[in-house]
Amino acid sequence: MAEQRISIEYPLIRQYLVAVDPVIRHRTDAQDLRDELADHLIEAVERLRATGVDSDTAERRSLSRFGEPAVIAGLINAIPAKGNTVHTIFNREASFFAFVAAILWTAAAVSIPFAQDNLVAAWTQGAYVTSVLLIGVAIAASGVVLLSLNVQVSGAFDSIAGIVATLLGLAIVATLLFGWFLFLWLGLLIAATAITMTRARASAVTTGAPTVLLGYVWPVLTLLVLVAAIFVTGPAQNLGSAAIIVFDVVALPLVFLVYAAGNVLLGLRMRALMPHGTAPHDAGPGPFITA
Amino acid sequence: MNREALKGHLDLLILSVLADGPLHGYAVIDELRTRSSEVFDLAEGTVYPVLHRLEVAGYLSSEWGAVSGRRRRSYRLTRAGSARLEQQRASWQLFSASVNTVLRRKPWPSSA
Repeated sequence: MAEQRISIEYPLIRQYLVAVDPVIRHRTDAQDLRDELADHLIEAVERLRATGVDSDTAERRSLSRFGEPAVIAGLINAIPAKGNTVHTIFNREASFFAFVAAILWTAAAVSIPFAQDNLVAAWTQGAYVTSVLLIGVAIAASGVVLLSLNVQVSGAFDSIAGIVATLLGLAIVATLLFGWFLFLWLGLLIAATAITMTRARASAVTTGAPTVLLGYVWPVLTLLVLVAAIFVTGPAQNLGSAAIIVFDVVALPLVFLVYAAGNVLLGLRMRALMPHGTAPHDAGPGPFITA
Repeated sequence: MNREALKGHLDLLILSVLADGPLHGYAVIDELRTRSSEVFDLAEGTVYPVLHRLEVAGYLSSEWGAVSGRRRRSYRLTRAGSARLEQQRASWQLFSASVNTVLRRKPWPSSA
């Protein structure tokens, strides 16, 4: 009933709420947020109307004063639904983990040629274990970022976040036990990343460049590299061939570097959208002296 | 006033406005604007994340009512919010007094 009234009497407010909705619709308190924004905007319009401003101008002026829908929705969505401490913990540390993940993936990209069969240096078990550990820790750091995005869009650690967490856990185990079997752990990482980027594509954190890079470019690139791996490292592989060198020194590190770049983009976006100031409950004596 | 400069003080300003009694979001912004003689003029939507954050932190509580057939959320200061306000107010007063002292200080020996 109330929504019908908004559609008829306040068409621009209706459009604004529709624009905000994809960002907040997964939250447990989504309807409360919609109602609160609608109440504010209608109140603003009615006050302007009372001064003699026509309806269309009043709506436009009120919406202009309220702020860009994508920005406002992103800021509102960055605050957890009341009582959701999981959301708070993930959000606060997510940008840090994104940058850590980028560093780890870059290190993994550098280490991977050394972990391969006598490619750039004599193969050692130590080089292999180092590379595998780097990849495992990089997946874990990226996993925190992916889970943070899931919690942000849903407002809670929901069943899909649980599936993503499971995929990531399996990817880490697969890396540590079968690091040489790219199809397994990269496949699991592609699945976890694709699920997350698909559901978070409307979020202010991921919209635009992060979605393009991690949601489209990286999965396609990785799948192409995995297909190439069938030919390069299959039964008829020829150690030392140009193809295998290109695969291990260029293609595979490129997959890691693109993923690192995606994490940097996410980290920058998360930092830019982080609510201003220190969280109140862990603030010191006041922001004015220490800022 | 520069909006970025204002953002750093929104917690204090909002807690202060709500110290006089419960208000809904629009009224909080209206009160900020009125009390500051229209100097504090920010994108209105940016106040809600601050209200929600203060509520999650336990400094505000909210309750729903109905006005003209639509739901309206009002915020009020909690006991922790009152304590937080006093803490931030004291911190601000110390800070502003210190800045004023620095600004008033004349070079020595004074040329005047």
